[in-house]
Amino acid sequence: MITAVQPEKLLKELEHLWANLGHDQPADALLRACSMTLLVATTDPTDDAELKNTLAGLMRAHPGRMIILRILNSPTPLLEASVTAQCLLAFGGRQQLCCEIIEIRSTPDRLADVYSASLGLTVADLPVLLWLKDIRLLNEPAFQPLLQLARTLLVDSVPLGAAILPTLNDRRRAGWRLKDLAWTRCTAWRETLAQAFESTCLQGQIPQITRVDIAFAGATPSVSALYLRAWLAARLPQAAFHFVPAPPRRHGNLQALRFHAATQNPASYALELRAEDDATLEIVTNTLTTRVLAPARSEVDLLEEELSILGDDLIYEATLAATVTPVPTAE
Amino acid sequence: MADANPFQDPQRFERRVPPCALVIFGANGDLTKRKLVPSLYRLAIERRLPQGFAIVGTSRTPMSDEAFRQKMEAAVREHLENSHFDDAIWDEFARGLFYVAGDLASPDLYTTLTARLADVAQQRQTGGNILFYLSTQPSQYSTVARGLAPLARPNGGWRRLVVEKPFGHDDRSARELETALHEHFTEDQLYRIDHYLGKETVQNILAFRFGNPIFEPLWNRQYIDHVQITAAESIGVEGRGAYYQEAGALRDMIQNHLLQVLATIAMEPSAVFEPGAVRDERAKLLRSIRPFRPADVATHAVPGQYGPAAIGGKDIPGFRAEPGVDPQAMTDTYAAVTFLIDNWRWAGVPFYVRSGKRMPKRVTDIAIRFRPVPHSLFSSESARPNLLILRIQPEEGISLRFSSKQPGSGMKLRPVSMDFNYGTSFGMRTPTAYETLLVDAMAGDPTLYTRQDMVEASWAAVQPILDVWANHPPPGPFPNYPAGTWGPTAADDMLAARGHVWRVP
Repeated sequence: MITAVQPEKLLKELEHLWANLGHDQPADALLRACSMTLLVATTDPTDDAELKNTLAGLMRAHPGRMIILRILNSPTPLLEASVTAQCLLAFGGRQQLCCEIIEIRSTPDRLADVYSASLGLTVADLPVLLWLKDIRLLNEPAFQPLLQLARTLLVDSVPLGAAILPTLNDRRRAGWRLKDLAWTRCTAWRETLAQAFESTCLQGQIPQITRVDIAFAGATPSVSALYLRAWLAARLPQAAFHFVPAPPRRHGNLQALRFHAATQNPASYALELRAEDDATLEIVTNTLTTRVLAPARSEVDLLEEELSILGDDLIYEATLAATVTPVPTAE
Repeated sequence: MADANPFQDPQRFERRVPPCALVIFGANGDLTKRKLVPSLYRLAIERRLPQGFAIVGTSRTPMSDEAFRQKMEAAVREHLENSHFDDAIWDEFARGLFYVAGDLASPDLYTTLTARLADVAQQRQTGGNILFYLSTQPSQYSTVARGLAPLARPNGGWRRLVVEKPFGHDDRSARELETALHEHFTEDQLYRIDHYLGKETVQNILAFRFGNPIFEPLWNRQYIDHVQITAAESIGVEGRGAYYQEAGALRDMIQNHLLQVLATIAMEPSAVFEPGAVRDERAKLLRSIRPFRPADVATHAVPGQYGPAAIGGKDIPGFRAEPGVDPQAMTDTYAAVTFLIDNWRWAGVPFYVRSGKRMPKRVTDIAIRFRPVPHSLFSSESARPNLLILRIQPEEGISLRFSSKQPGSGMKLRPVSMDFNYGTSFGMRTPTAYETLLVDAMAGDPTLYTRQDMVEASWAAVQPILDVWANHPPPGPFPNYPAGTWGPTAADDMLAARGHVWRVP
């Protein structure tokens, strides 16, 4: 069914929606909060409830106007839109925090209309982000104009693996700000490592680290493992890197990082950071083993971390760039 | 200074803390159980503590490490706020808890402690870094500092000493304390904690003032009429009668917390956001507070003491009837002071500061009242001056009150409010002041800690009032305000003399 998706009409519907929500409530009971426009592009016709739950989770720390672009394969052309709102009682507050959701459903042949309608729906003077829930859209010719809606793209490269890294780099070079949840999944590993290397004793050993083993479970190293290798290689230019298969102790591909120093017995290591189980990482040095809690993170949690970085993320950008340049490896 | 740790990512990771041991003197006390250990456990939940972090508790009570761990677990379970107790995290955290019993005045304690810290450094790889935390009676500070003298100069690692307020009982004792501490610790090793400065909303004053250029041009005598700082508590002395009777509101709240808040409101922007620079500006502001002559005190400061009252059908005793309080006590449970700042920005702008117990509600806020319009086009009743309110607690946030046309014919103005609420805007838990300050001390960042020159400047600002109040009883008899009210009428008169009134928070 084709209905004209007119921004003014949708915005007016939103105004009615807010008026109805506030009806019979004290004046300050509802807070219409907005810090951004988040466009979400999805091709999954069945993810409605899950996606709205994710957006509701995000709204706690990053309230905004959420515009779902649902692209559906249908024999008949489709273009329609609707508006809803999600409210929650904020932490420690007495006001309900409410965000608005606009959903535009379209077949691929109507994407040009989706683009023009979306342009009129973004909130003035606030950041606009585009989350490609289906990363394959990045390579979809019909979708290319919609990429122009935002200069920040959120993706999860896991479904396409390393093959998507050159495309992400092309976008980065063309001026887009990229955010990849596969990189966000590295945070627990990177942060624990950074904390361990706060020890001046371990810092003194950094120049002696000549080999790093990255243990992974599964058939091949994941994008997260490739990111970690690139990130570590930039910090340990003297070291050779070796991907080693390992039995899974933790959900996901990454299982351990082992740092070997030149002065040591090749079988020993200066530091090992390894998965203990799904919720725990272990840091092992010569004399001390400690555990830190690092449970698997929800999609909301990963997105929140990315949304909290407002400016350029130079460390990620450099890492992304380095994934397509050779890194020394140990055979 | 370049970071020696190449794995850092400040955009994503919280501030890192180097491996270290925290030695708490007074480990069996209330502060340790209510604030320190629960805050440290919260930091453990958020993975903000270093690998091998250790706590060595000391107090007189003999106790094994295991008994100390059990006691601290019970304390954390009872006092942990807004967090779920996680057994696995506790087990890991508790492995780093140790205990040493001893008398603070006995050299044996420090000998035992030295040996124990060497063991802990070996076992937990703390690199010899030690943060000492004095959570004892203030009268024991110099004794502990003397006992720690051999440990204060490390061969490797760093040593820091955290001192809880009060920093002296008056200006003389503050200087004596400084001399005693400086005998063994240098100023950059000393961290004087004022937990008000660790509050997110107090830190946000700096962000608000120096991160938003629209306010800075208005932040001076030309546009601001006066400032009111209120710290009201609805509770009484809650079992602290004996301590409070010697302290009073002026010493307990205004000399430290509220003057630090005043300094944060009124200081000049520093060139850089670095500890030395920010603290220099705070200190400079505190030194600019006009000293009172004895003759000025009666017109610039009002003491109060609450009397009995019935609140909501419940009989509330007066201060003098509280347990542990002398029935003739002349303690100020309320104090209001008009401070004037002698610099170009603030000349002639009164800063009214008040703090009291048993007030109608618990509230801390800062109200900045702007000057009225120079010539009113509308009825004088409807055009009210703008008011900017920075709410510290509860419902932390910022409100700006301005006038708006009331809908309908004619031109009637009505005050309306633009509100920013911390809780709803960020929707997440904010760290407690102790979490912030403990991380800062371990990371070596004294920005939010008080420096000796700031302590001395604060005492200089209130000492003349204390002297006059000590030697001349207040004009009216104590008690002079009933519990559950906003303080004595003399405080209203103090503002009325300048044509102002206290706002009702």
